[in-house]
Amino acid sequence: MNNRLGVFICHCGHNIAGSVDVKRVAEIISRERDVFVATEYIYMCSSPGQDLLEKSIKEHNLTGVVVAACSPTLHETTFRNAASRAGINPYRLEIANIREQCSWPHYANPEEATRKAIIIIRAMLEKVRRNSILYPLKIKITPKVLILGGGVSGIQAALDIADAGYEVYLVEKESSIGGRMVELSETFPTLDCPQCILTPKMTELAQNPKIHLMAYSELESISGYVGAFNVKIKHKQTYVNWDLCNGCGSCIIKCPAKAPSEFDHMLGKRKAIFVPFPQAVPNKPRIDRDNCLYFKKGICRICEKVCDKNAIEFDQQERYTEVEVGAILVATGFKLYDISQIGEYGYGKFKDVVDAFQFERLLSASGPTGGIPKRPSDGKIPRRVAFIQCVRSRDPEKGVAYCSRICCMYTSKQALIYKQQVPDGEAFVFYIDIRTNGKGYEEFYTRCRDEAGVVYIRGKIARIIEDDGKLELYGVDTLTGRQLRMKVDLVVLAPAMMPSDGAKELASKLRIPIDEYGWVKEAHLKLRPFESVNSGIYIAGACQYPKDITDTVAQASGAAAKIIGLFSRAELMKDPLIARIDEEVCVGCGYCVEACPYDAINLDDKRRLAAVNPALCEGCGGCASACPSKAIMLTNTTPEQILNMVFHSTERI
Amino acid sequence: MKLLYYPGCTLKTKAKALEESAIEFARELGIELIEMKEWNCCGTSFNLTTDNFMHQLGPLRNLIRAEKLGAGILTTICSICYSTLWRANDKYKADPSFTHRVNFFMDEEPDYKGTVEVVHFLRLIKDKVGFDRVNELVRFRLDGLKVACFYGCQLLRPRELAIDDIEHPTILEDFVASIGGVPVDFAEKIECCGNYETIAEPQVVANRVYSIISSARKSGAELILTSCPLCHFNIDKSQVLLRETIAGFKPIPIMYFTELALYCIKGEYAESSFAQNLIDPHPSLSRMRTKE
Repeated sequence: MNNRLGVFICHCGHNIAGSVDVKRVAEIISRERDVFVATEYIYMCSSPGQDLLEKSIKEHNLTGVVVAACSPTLHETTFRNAASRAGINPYRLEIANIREQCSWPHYANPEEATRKAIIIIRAMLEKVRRNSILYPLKIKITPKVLILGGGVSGIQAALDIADAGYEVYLVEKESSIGGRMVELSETFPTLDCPQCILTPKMTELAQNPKIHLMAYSELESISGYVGAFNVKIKHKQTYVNWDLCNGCGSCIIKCPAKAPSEFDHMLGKRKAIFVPFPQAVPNKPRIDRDNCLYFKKGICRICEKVCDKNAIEFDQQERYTEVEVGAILVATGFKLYDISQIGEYGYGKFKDVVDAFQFERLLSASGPTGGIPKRPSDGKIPRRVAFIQCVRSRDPEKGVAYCSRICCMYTSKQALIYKQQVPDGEAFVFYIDIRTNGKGYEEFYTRCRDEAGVVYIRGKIARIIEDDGKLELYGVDTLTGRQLRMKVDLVVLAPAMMPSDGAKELASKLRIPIDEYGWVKEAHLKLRPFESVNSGIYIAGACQYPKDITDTVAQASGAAAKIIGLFSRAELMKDPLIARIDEEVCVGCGYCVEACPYDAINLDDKRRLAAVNPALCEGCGGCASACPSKAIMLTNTTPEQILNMVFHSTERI
Repeated sequence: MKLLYYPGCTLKTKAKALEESAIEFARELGIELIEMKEWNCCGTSFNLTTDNFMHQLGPLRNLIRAEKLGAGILTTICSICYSTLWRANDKYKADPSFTHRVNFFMDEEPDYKGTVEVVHFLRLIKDKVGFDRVNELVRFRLDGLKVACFYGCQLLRPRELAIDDIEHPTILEDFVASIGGVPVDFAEKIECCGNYETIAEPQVVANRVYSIISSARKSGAELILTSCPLCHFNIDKSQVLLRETIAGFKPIPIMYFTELALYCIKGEYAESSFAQNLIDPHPSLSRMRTKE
């Protein structure tokens, strides 16, 4: 085929033209072999710029195009669509990146920048000359979603997606959904209680026929790709047959064994057969093996005797369910930094030093003290309470570098509720900065400080010691510069938010990247905050980074909208720029299988040949460089193309 | 086992009992502490100015000489020597440009290869001998004696050099338990003793010591143990001042952990023990009974 090529050079305002002499580049490039048109324009991506491109393609009957502009990640699709409109195959258009890789770094040296721009364009011309005509791959989509995590984000997304008519599998590792939010006393800044705003949603979820709720379950394994993930879900042993159980609760009433309640953060008690809290969804009990008298000593079995439905199954085994889904939403949430690791505050040994969640339970009307805060040590109502913020947050030496974002607000809320419950009590908040960046937040904080009389002291507490049943704080007031010592009855810590237990293992199963702390990485912080880089896997809530309920719900609905958008198409289009195998040459050594980070290559043992799964291949080229016999190559990035690109970019100008 | 040992100035002057008891105690454990030749000042305190280059030369010269003598481990007994030598060593190993500058500057010495590890005597006993072995050797038990262990700062901060958990260390308590004492926990065991303020502002030190002693007394302590000569000096001396100025103030004597350890094995104290104590430990020690 005779090539008829066109080159379009973008000024990008001053971004490129400020250092690259675009006119000279166009003139030199116009003399290249097969180039029928080489021109420049101030903004190629603008509407007139795209018109120019389309018009030139038609006018000169072009068969291939190079657009010299910004990075292909920005506008490759824009220009390929334009080329398509003008009647040529979009894969016959390539971007020569002369901005990020040329004009920006060589800004101070226009001569060099211009020379390099010419070289980059020449190389791209070599690539386009040999680009094949390609058509996008089509992948079928199973319009069902798997949601991992039944906190407020998972609940919100499940309801949104089910409302759109698609099936949802909601997997929750605890025996009830509700997550961290349902443990709260009230929520800032509106002081709604979660019982009023979350439990109705939980019930709605349980009643929705499109939603398959899998509580006390975990993701076991996953294979497949966007549109068709095969997932295996493990249902852990509850020792109660939930299909038979009617949730009457007789077993719980009769059970003689008690243990600390996880829901009350170890401040209250529960039975060995229990539902975490009265409004649990599903409202079905499970047996905690470690505390059950039958499992410990082989005696008792009272629950079995009192159950009318014969639902108790001491010999229950783990069960597994396998389903195919088109998308996965990760909503695994957060936990708090473990205060038993904090030496200066007593390593969790002081009973009256509690973390924020424990204090939430002490303030909650459904909590172990009925909403009147009482000290865990002696049950007395604390008259002086100190709140310490930024415990291991904003502390890269001992904890984490980031701000946990919600602590300023919930500490204000806790102090306010405390003052409402104990009007003659004193509340002190030790802070570094007060951060109130949300709707109604600053007003709420001001109300706590000015109207409720909460005392804010800027400074951190260096050490807590126990003394005569009180806690003595050593610290500094950084506004007056004075050291301070203060005795209080109760200390509430606001520890750093951390990714949930198991988040790292889950991320590695799903092949999604996480950051140094274990937060799931988004595809782009600003432009693609609802999805991970692994296509088909979406994210919502505090598994990404610390978020309040408002942001969490917003992101959950956003991710749900993305998933609904994906499901609204019957097929998924995918770039065909993937690895292909020359079966004549392949010897089945398997090096490519090892090299592939996406598990996209399988070895056919019978034929001794490698085979690429086109849906999984991301076109990274790892296999092509690993293949010793050059049997596997990347479409439109063949060795011949690469060698010609190198050859022509090292020629003298 | 023979080990090279760096004494430092204080052990030759104000804290003779610490050196004598440590060497003898080590011998009982089967360790021969050999004093390194040609040692010089440890640096006294780790300098925190941005350009503290000159302050590192003293401690590093000691390490160069220890390396020349083929020592893999250099033992210190004084907490302050431990801190300054350890930190100079760490800085040297961590920062290549600093390494280069030191070797260039000290061209009269061979280049330091960084093979020496600075180890505190207490940590050494724990790792190389084990407190269980110490316990086996004990013949004279501190029957019922309540001992408060005072760490001070130099063994624990910064966290990189800490010989134990920085916020709640127990290594001294574990040691005391191994020689039959009753370690009592107290809130101020890792607080500042007042340090060099003892020169310019003795009242600051006295205030600190008052706080420390009150805290130790609350837990019922009859004796305080330490490994730091400066903590020893400050706590001992300030209590004399406190006894004179505060009515009803009851001091608690302070000793080095090695002094008591030696007694527990041999039934006798070091030659210089008690000579440099201002608050006499005898009344507390008289409560001990011997168990053969």
